[in-house]
Amino acid sequence: MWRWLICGVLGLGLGVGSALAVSGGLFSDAKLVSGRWSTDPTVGAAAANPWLRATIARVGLLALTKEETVYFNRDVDEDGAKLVEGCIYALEGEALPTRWWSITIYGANQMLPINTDGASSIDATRALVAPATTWAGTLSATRPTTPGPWLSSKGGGTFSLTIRLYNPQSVEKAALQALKLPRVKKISCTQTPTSGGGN
Amino acid sequence: MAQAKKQALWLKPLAFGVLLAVLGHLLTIGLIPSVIMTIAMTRIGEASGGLNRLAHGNMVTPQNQQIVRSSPDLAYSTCALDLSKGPVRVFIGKGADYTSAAFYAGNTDNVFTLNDRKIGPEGARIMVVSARSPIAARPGEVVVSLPSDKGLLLVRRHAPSPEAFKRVQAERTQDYCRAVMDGV
Repeated sequence: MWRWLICGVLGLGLGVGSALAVSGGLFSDAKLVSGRWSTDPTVGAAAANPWLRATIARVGLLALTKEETVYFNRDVDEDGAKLVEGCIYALEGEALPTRWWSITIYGANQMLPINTDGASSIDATRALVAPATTWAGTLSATRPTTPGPWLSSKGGGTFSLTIRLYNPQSVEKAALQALKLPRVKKISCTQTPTSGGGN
Repeated sequence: MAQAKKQALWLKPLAFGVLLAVLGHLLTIGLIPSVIMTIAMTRIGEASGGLNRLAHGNMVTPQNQQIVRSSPDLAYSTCALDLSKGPVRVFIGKGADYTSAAFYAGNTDNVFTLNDRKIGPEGARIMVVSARSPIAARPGEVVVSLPSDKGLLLVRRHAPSPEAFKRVQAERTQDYCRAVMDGV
């Protein structure tokens, strides 16, 4: 009897635990990659598989379908190292074939890092002032002295970035893969980031 | 011989454990969206003062964020939909900038989204019905059919600055989400 009990409890724990672990990852099985950014085009759609649906419910509830908004995520810099609060990064971007875009920073708990910097996001209207077609900004825990938009990582720990592309011109796979999404280059660090693998 | 007998005693319990692991995994994955959606609907309903009522959120900051991965560049309005007693009418006014009204089923599917490109200057009139609701839409109303009696409406308006948010606050004063029996 005790054999059945041990195996039953362990099996159930393993099943529930693995479900929670799988659904807690941010697009861990993302199907589409553009540079270091990745997305799953089935987000929000009825075609989404149960695992993606569970993941979205936990880490991105109430997402829109790709025709309305495409969500790309990344948690590594251009070299593949994890994005961490202890590093300063240069952001470089250009005009994108979408009606509007914004980049937001999220901590490991998928919430905005707690700070009073008022710099949790950068959007196209602030980054790309006409007639500019490119922009450069900073991602750091302290306000930079250089001009340009700033994304504050204060309180972010090990964090991720999401870029939302509203009403993209095309949602075809090739078009999304060819997007020139913003680059995140490490400038300096006061702590050593760990390798994040390929996101 | 004794060793083989001992191993055989574990075979069936181990198979039972594997079966429970698979069932537990699938059941948890299947339940997560509806459980989280129910929690979200309860919270939104409480914040709005009840179901089928539109609540306008404040500018999102790290201090007042309510749900995961909200965007500080958007002004959100929410309505927890309950179609068990009949359809619900929604009005979304035309905004000066990006506006969308997204309808979600109880399983988190985004079943319908209307954005400002399809909203005329007089605004959008929408009737939300469930699969078993009688449809009695007025001329000019967009009909949105949810597969279940419960759902959520999330309105997003572009507001990346305090000035833009002030403009949006004025734009959305006419917006509503009400049960048809409320006489709208």
